[in-house]
Amino acid sequence: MHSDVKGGAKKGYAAMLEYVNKTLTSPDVMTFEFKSLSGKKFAAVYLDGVTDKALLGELVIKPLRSVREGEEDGQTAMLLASPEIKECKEIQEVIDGILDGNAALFVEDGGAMYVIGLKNPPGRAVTEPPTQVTVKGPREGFTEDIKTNLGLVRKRLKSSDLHIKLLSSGRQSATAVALCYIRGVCREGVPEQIEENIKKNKIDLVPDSSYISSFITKHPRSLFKHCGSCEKPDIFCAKLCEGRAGIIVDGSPIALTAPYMVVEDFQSAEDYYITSYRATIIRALRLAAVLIGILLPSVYICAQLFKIQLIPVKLLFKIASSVSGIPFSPSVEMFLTLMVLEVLNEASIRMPKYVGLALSVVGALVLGDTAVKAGIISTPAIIIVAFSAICLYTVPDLVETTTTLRLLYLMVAGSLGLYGIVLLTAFMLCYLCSEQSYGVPLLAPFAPLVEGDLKDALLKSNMYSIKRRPLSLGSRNKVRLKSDKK
Amino acid sequence: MCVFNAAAKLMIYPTAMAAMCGNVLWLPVLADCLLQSLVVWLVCMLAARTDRTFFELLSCAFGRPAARVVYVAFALYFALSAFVPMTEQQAMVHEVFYDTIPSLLTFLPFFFFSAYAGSRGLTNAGRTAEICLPVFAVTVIILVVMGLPECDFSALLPVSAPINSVLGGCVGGFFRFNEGAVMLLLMGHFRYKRGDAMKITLSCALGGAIVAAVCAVFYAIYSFLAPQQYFAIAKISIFFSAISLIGRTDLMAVYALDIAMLFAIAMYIQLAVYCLSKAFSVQLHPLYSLVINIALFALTLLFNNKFALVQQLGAAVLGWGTLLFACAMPAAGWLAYIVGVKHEKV
Amino acid sequence: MKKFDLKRLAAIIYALAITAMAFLFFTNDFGLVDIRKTAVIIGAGIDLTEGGVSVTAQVAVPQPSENGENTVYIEVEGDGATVADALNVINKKTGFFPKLVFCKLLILGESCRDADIFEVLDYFYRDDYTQLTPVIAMCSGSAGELLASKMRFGNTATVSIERLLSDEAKKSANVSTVNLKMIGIDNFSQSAACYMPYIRARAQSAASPAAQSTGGGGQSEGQSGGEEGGDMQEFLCDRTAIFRGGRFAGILDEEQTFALNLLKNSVRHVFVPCTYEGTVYTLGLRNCRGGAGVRSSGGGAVARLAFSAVVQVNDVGRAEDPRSVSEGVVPEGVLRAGEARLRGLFSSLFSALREADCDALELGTKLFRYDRALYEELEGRVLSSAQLAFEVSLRSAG
Repeated sequence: MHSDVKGGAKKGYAAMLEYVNKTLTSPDVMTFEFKSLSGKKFAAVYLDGVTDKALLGELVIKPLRSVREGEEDGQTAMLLASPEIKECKEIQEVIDGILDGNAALFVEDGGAMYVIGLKNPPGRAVTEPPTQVTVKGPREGFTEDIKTNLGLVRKRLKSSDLHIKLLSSGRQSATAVALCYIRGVCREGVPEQIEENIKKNKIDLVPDSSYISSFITKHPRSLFKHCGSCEKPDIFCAKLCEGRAGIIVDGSPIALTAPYMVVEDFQSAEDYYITSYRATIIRALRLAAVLIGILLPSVYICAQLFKIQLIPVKLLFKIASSVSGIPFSPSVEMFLTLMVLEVLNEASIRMPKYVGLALSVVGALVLGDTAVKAGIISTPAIIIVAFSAICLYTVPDLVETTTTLRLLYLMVAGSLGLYGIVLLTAFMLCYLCSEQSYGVPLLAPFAPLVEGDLKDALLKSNMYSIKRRPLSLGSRNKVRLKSDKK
Repeated sequence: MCVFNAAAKLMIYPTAMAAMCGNVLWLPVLADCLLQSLVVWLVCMLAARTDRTFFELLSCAFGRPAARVVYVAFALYFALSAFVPMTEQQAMVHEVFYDTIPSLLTFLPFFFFSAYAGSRGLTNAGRTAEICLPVFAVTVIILVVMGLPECDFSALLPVSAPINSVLGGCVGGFFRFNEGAVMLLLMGHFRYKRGDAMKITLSCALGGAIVAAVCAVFYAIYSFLAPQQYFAIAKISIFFSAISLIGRTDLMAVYALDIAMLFAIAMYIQLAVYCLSKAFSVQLHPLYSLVINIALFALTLLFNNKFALVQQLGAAVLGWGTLLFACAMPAAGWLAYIVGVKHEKV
Repeated sequence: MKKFDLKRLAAIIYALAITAMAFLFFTNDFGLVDIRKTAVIIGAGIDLTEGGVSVTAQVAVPQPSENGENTVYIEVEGDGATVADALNVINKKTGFFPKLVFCKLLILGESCRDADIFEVLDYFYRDDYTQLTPVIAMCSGSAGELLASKMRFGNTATVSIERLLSDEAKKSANVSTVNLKMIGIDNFSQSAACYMPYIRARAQSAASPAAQSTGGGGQSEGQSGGEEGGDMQEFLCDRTAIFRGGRFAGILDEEQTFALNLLKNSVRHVFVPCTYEGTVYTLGLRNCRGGAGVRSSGGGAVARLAFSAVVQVNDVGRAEDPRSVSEGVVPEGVLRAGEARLRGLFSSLFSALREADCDALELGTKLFRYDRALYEELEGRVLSSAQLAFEVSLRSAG
């Protein structure tokens, strides 16, 4: 019988209901059978806690119960008050619909099956994202609900060219993935390539967009990411308008964009809401801070080990005084200090908030102060590591990469010295110069040099100067600011 | 081209020229540069007439085997061309990057970089050049500006130097000017647009002019002591008054400049790998880069601590090589073009 | 047979490289001379001995400290056939590797008068890891003892002398500050002459409270210096030692030193005393432009010593009408007296240099640069054959 039911629809109300109940044995799958005034039997199957029961009662059960004899002419869907109704031919579609959080409606007479859009999973409200806080500008951030997120995008892009393609990823999770792009603006071939990459992925579960991010990347093992991420709909829409494709994954508040250029991470949404002068200064500061954050610990130990001339003589004497009693070599000392910082960082994120204060005390006082007093770690090492950490967080989107790079540079500096640093930098540049994200070089618009795009790279010109979309992205429709002048 | 050609010449070349030509060290630099700019212009003119690569021109005119032989010879030439600046780099690393003489071990990771960069192809060379351009410009300007207060440009007088000395400088430094050969291999790999010849030639000349200017500043600072001062670029800013207060921060600029120098050396290896790939009609293969780097590594071990000998051999052997590949080969390119056109007409 | 996988090979090679790097990182010892094994030499004195050279290095030894800097300066002496030998002896004695990268001062002892100083200093020009930035001077007596002196002002002899020979002092024309590069260029030029400050130590009473100070954040422990409670020293750098072909050729007195500095250095604000109508005036000279040049005239060379400045009266040996002070106009007679005084100084300098046959004004080099034919004609006797011409012009500031 089951195979019959599985094979085709309309095998009978009871058979189908039985099949569903046997397939979905979880206790949160609820079945509610009721009759209309005409005596016709219905069954609503839904997920407790995910489906909106109040709406189910109001929009589905109440209208159907009040149907009298002769009032219906075989079209149950017309009687429902819900705007989102899908009639299903296959039982599997119904099961997928139930698992997605919607309600399924089985009708006794004729064996019709409907999936009614009543999904209302527990979720949080639209709030300001913690990683992309702005002083000026919109404070809305994406949530875990794909529908809310798409709504936030739609709110900003009221264009008929905005194309949203709903895909599904994950063999077990069947996570909804929305591929968004603006037709005519996004380079042809990019959405298709992304779609193909998403479809190729046969993983069980896609709990977050970071999974999708690694599937749509050509080099998933790369230290550098190949697609951008954002938590704010305003940034997401701006990126779509520049010619990128966007990906919103159900269950993830972080949306992805591709193609990606490294320079994106040095730009923040706020740069566009403040004066261009200030934005340019801030961008330059971010770049300088990231370079300092990565290189400072390694250059410091190189200066101690290989080239003391790099340090001014008076500072050298101070450093020499501080390090003269330390039992470790400068490189090991710096390594240990960095490790302590990383551990503290990790613990402060993971630890319950009520332990956080204690952790700060332990980290700052016990580990830091006492270690210096005990002559285990020198004061300059702590200052340098702390400053380096602060610097790296000026570009939070790159922190994963930059902290790894900092460690790599430290290893190279401690073993090979300044030449190691120079070689590693050259190596990284060479690597970055040969990498692409969906046909766009990662280091664009600097390598290859795209002069027009330099207006909004590290430099931020005023809005009137940036008349074209980034040429590096290869949009067909290049004009983003139309001039009235003829 | 402007960046890489200038960067590769800023290590030992100014000192060598100061030793050969004294106060007129900038004259042979300009002379060699002008000659190569002329060759580059001729190659650009050829590129304006045909979209073919040099390999295709040779194949068309003299047959594929001949083209292959020429390209293998080119690969050898570029590999050897990389060797001299590489030894200079090694010496510079030992002096400028460390306070005390380090072991050879510290230089060996260069070959990891070189092997990787060598396998990346000419597009990568172009992109790295675009990254290096601002780095090079900013660092050179910083270093030169820091050196200017200490300059006594009257040390460059009298300009009327013995012709033998200038000619000696031209011949001694000639092997470093192989822009014509580089351009010949790049021909056909870019879409020639009107005015490109002038732009490319000027950028080549600008590279030479930068080297000549650095040489002049270097000599204006060190005058009679210049021949003793190796690695001019690291020495021209040490008298800047703020250095005593802020430490040798000028070295940061030198280290940044060294990145451009590294890519300049890598470009020769990339060209050598490209030539081998063309000659053997295969795709750009990392194995070629590996082989070339193993050969360079062996040469490094062989010539370790024989810096002066490498310089002499470079001037003697590579000088002829440069004459052949950077001057005669562009002429051969024109010849191949003319012969090829005749063939096609027939 | 398994297919040769280059990517796999590359991965293995890079993994090995990272392992090797990690090993080096943690063992961290392949002939490194790090900050803790380094003797940072801030100043060095060189004396010639019978056996060769004696180098006294003033070394900074940072001490463990919780709060800020605590640096002790000690003088370490090493003897050897050459400077390099002597430095090696210092290394052997202390266990610290001597680094000269922060050396700001080199002092040649009086004993160096008998030798070619460029033979003594050869190490500094030859060694790749030393710079030509240290200021150099010659002193009366032993350079080692001078460096070990207990100072009346400041903490160490090096710091005190460095202060006396600073760029600011150079701009006042009182000291002839030069560094290794400048004397090298001058000596190897066509003029083959150079000069450097000549330092004299003068004993002062130890009673002064300043003698107890240990300023500059550090403290001095002159181990080879004078005994506790002994005489404090102060230094005078107002004379100049001149050299011809690297050999000592004489000493210029204070006035000749002043004149030399007016002509050779870009001075900022100097004071020149002169007498006019029996009254002593101290003239303050600003916007000074001085220089020694040479030009051909009638088949010979004419040395032109030129100097111009804007003058104001800084002090007068009698009371003046306040109105004339406020106007600030320097009387013509005083200007002429000042010019005469400067001419006298330049003349005295030129005579002293000619007597010592030391072309410290670089007339030979300048002639070579601007008139090579005449230089070749007069080679070796430019200074002796050149006629002297003055172009001194002082203008009132008012």
